[in-house]
Amino acid sequence: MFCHTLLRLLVASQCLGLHSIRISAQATTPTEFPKGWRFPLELSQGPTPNTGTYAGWLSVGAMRTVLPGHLRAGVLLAPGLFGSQATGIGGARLAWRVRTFTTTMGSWGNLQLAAEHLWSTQGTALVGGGLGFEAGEIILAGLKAYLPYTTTGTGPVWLQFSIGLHLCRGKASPESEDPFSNP
Amino acid sequence: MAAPALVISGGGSKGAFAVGVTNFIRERFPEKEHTILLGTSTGALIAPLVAVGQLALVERIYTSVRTEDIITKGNVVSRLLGSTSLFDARPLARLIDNTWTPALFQQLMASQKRVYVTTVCMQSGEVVYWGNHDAPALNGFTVYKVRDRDEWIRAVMASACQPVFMPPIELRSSDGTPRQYFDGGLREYIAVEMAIALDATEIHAVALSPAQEAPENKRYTSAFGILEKTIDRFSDDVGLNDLRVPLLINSALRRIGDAKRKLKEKGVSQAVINACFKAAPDDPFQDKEEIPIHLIRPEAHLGGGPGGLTFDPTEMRGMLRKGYERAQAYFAAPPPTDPFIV
Repeated sequence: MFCHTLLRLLVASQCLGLHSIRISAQATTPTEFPKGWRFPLELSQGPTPNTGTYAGWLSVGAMRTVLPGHLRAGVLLAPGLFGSQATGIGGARLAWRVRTFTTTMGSWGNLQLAAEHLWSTQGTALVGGGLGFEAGEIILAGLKAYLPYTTTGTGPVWLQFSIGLHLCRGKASPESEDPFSNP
Repeated sequence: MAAPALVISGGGSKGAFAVGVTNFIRERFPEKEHTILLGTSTGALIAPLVAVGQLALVERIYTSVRTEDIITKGNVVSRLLGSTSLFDARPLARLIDNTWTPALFQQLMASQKRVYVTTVCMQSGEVVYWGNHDAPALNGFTVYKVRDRDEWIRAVMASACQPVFMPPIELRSSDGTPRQYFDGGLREYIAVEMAIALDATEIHAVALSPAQEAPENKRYTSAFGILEKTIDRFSDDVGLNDLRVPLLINSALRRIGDAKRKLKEKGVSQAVINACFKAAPDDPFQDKEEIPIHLIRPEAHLGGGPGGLTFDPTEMRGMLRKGYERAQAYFAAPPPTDPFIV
């Protein structure tokens, strides 16, 4: 079901003209999703029909670009609330860049498709995905839909809106900035 | 001894125009081999290679490289907050490193020609020339003879690195005294004064922006656009002053020469003329003669994007052709040089 949902999202993005990627044609260094690690800190929240009124979590992730310019993969951990119940959440996320926003000087943000599978200590697992927006490699926002499921069955879809930022955006060292270093 | 000089200004991809001009001068005046070669920014990539007989290589570079062969763009916000420049200049560093082979560098250092590239030190604000020969400090400029190939390619790179757009280059730096260098065009757009200080007997100066641009009929509506134009205006002003002073001195020397000649024609003896024009030892005009300065520049803006940082081979081939044709027209009917209309 998860793969099917992801496939549908990818097809939908293609139809919307968002998916303008040609991997073989991208010879230059990507301006978005560059190599390396990113550590997103995100607050996610939204209505949950089957747990009362609300679910939310504050997650810290570790995402690594596995296909520069295109794909990040990583894990996230979060304390959260499902209705009135506190829970611990952990899981995996894939993010696929679908659009880059540019100026003549370079890019300033991107739109990405995200797919996640999360497990909670409370017993409910969530599978889902949605759209993510990233500006300046700092600010994050997302809108996702999750299908909750337990060993006994699935529940109605949860919508989650998230905002966040990438942690650890330090200054580059003079050595790494030198164009003759690792040319 | 005749010492013709070639001086090339900054201008990024517009350097193709200078290559066209140099091609013409080489063809038209084969006997006038430049023995002083000075380059600023893109001129620093061209003039030294011309000095070691690599004009064909320069032409190939200036008609084939693309923007991505010079700079890598990134996320603007991220680079502004976390880097020293908007662009990563590693591709240009690779190009310079590959072009200046150890053999070519040895040839440069063994050459009798005096070759210098212009930089500006961020910490001291000094204009610093890096080259293949020692030279005394001239007109307040600092001159360094490079120690090795590594220092040379870093100096060429520094000369080409436009502040904010490209990173500073450290040279002769230490932890206690960091020294970061940038494009010499920040203060010395076209090194005509340095050529005069090096006793050039004739100067071919190639500037890459027109003397006057037609007024634009557009309204500026963004801070960024205004900033970009303001930087252009500052650069133009630096260039104007770089040229105005030497041309003004030249103009004064011409008038002194004319006066001496007329006095002689009126029958005044040479001894009296010499006595009349005898001045204090620090007189800048004493024992100096007018130097022919051939200033060749485009008639209109050449393109090349902001800061000349758009490298489009098709556009650059057009600039090269314009440079050749402009030089051809200049030497067919040299215009009068007036220091007030540079």
